[in-house]
Amino acid sequence: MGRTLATFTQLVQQEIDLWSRYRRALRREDQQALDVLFAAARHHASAGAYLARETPFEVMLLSMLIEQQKHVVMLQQKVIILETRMLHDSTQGVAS
Amino acid sequence: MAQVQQQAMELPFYTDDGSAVIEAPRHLLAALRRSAVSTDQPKGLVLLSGPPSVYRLGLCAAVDRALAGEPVLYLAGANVFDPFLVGRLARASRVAPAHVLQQIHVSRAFTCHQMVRLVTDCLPSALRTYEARCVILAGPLDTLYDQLVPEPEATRLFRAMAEALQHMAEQGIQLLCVTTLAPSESGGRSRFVAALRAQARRAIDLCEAEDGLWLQEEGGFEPRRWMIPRPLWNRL
Amino acid sequence: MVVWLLCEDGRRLRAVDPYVPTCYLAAPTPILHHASRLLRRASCRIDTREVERYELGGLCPIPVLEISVYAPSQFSSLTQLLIRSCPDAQFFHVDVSLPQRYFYDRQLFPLIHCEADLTAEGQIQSIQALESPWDTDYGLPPLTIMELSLDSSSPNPNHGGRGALIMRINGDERLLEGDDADVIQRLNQLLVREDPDILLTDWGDSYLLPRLMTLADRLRLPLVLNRDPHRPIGARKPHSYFSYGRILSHAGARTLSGRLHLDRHNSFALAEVGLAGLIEQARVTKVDLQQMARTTTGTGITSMQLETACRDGLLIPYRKQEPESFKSALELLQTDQGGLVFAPIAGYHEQVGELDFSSMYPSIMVRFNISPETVNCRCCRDEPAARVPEIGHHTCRRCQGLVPRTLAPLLEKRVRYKKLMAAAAQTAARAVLDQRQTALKWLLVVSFGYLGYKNARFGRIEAHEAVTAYSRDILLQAKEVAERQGYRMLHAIVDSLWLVKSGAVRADYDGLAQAITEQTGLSIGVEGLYRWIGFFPSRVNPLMPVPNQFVGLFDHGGMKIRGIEIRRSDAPFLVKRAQAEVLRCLSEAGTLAELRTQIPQALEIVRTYRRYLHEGRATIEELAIAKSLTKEPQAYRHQTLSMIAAQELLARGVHLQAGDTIHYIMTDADAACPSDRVRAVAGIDGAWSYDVSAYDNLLLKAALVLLMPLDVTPALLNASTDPARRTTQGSINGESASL
Repeated sequence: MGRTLATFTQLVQQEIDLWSRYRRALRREDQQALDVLFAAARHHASAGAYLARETPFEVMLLSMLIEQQKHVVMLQQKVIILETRMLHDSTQGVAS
Repeated sequence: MAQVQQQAMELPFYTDDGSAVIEAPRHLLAALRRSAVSTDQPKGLVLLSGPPSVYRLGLCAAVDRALAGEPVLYLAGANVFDPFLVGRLARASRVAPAHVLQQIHVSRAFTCHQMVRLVTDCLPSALRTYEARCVILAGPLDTLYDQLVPEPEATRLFRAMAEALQHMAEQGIQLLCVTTLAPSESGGRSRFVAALRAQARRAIDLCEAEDGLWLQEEGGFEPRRWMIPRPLWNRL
Repeated sequence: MVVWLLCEDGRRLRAVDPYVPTCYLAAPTPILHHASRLLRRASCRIDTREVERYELGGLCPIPVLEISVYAPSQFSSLTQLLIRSCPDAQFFHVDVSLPQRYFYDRQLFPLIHCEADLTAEGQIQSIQALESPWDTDYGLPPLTIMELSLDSSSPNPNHGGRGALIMRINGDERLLEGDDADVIQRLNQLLVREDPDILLTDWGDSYLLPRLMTLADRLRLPLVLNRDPHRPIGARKPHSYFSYGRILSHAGARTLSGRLHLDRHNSFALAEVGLAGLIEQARVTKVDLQQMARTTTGTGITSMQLETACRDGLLIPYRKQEPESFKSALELLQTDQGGLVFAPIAGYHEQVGELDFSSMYPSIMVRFNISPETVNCRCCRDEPAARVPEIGHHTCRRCQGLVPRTLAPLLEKRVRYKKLMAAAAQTAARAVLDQRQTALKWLLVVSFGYLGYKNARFGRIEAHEAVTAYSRDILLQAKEVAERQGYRMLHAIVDSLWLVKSGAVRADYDGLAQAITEQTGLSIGVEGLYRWIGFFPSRVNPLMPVPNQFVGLFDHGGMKIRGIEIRRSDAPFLVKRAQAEVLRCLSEAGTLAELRTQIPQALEIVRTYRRYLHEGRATIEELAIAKSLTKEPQAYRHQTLSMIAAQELLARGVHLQAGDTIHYIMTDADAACPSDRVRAVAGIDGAWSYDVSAYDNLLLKAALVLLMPLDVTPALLNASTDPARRTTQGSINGESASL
């Protein structure tokens, strides 16, 4: 008894299978990018399961976007640090 | 995603000689409605049997009725109910999936005693509660094949269930019974499918081939065959 | 009912209690008349009367025929006859084991300290308990234990490699040698002289006892295994069964009368919770010890529920028939979920705390009153406080349900044991308390599964759904409280959370646990603080972290390890030992920075093990791989290694069934001829060799899972632990020099 429906992790796997022809026709580097996206979808399986939406693919898309957004923020922070350091270095340079 | 499916739904059905029997069907559900598994045919018991793909077809029939605005009762004897397929079909028909899901009422049975109780006692009252006329029985025999239940007991339970189905069919309830063939080693229980077939007003067999799924109806004025092309089925 | 008593003067008495079991029948009058006619033909006294009784959750009582059978030995055959003859009647109380019924009705339990009045013929006039199953400070009767095993290193005597019989009693050990007749006669003498209460064996159910019985039979010698000479030895055939999605093998059973036979190799309970835990389970569940040792823990929890029902005068239905209520497919989508699992953030982390809800599911059942008859009751439909979060169900606010009534004392007793454990001064006493509390934990663990198990007597799918819905809501509440306090959640599995916050110390985590307990009403505690913890990705897809696969070093120096080779039953001992040594090396690091400095030393350990393998020094015990057969050996389609080993055993006449564990060694894993690839351990005699590269591969994988998050790539690992090179440092320098 108990659970009978597919789990979100299984749904992600089904989706990966549905896109297998698409993936095959991608270049190696693009395949790797696609794999990272689906890994992001699976990473947020708990939230996807909790939402329990009947059309799970859009939930997967949003999970991929979350990971993208986190990456963007992380890169922004790195840029700020680098810029600050460069600014610091250049003013130091002027001062010396 | 939805776009891909929408495109898939537009493939027509073919007859033996390759001509399209259905005039310009817009999508699979419309096609189904006019096919062997037609759900707007006169009432009674229809038996659809074959490999496990029959369950998906049964679910398509349920969605078709729900899309037509009818409440549907879905009795799951085998663990086959797939709400995500319902979602995809609803979306392909440009209807909110939640709306279709709300029209389908599901009960799962995990033992043959539950299954039979479901058909004999719970179903008649559920038909009244939900004002439903359409019932899908998905795998009503699966639990009866359980070897832990002695054969005489299983046979007695099967008779009780078949009797209740007969009674409902006579009352004009539309019953689509979807079942796989009996597993090997089921002994005397392998007769259950045949007994249901004898009782059904229409009996349709599904078989899978390289090019697609063939539906065949025996009896009637002349045998009829339909085919669902493989590319369409694979994208369901 | 035969009851064996151990008297204060040391005598073992066979007493008989004139117990009269009852069952109930509900049916239309003609069927009742038919049943009565059948009963009149019975050879023992039978009384019937018309009474009214409640079903679980029933609003009004139903009229039933109460049937009292004055000969317990005929109860089972009589009820079976009735069931066959009246298929349309409803039966109650017919299939509960009679010893259990006896214990419920007389308020007794196995090994109870009691007081009995007996006639000269040994008939029990009255019998009274002198203790309660909920006591925690009970003593055990002075039981004599005789151990029987084989002098053999074979992983399973049924698969080959048998030895002489060894008997141990009171620290004395004897080898029973000689021809078959000598062995049987010496064993008989020992049994009569020592008169043991418990026969504790290795492989007694599947091999030892059947073999001894066959021998005695062939030699026409008596074999006095039973203390009760009037009864035969109970026998059950081997079989396979499903449990929690896995197929398991039951080796059959040989049970004794007047004496207990326990087989260490055929008892989940003995293996998991020891003799003290097994006795604890028998006391609270009232399941006879020989059965408790061999059955699933679920039988125990079911028995407790049956007792609650009997005590409350409820009818116990013969077959559960109630199917799921209809729900819309949309509701199904919402309700058909398990507990929440948050994938871990892969890699090593510092200063992490783990918080666990104690016995989360049973606590939810008790706190929110979840039971088959309380979910979606008629009386509390409109009460907001009765609502189950996120799904449409509600639970009763008025009457406590059968399942919570059964579980509450169990939860409470476990808490008492844990407190006693914390206060216990002696290690031995603490170990016994630990076995007892673990025994109760197992009962609590399976209690949830039985709400959703299809054949469970008191199961209902809506109750199962309500429990998981509460668990999801509570885990999210815990996450929210932690995040409000500045913690980051690294990982969570249903009832456990791994959290991190820079600078947080024990007091902070205790405070957090307190805050979550207050918020959720469910007790959560700090399992421990980790100096560091590593969460590992899937072997198949390195991008995907897997739940419950980690290694953590607690601040007290202990380690918690989940999901890697060292915890896996199918990993060869050599691989486990190598991984354990690498872990010991890593455990010397207190921080992530220190962890990295341990890498060269860890690589050196791997290299030592690889060299050992390559030099051909590994032994059978170090290399044996234990695999459980997932289906009947005849049903395998592919030539998997375990299937090839199974075929080898089958060819030698060994009986195998799904769920059996077989042991093999990889001899040439890629050989063209399948039978060259592996050898079954039980069949190895004489010359043998092993597949160095196959084991080398397993070794490297076991090291890689720990080192990869520290940037050790497969290529680097392979190169820097090359068994042919002298030292790690040398090999790396050597290569850069040649470049």
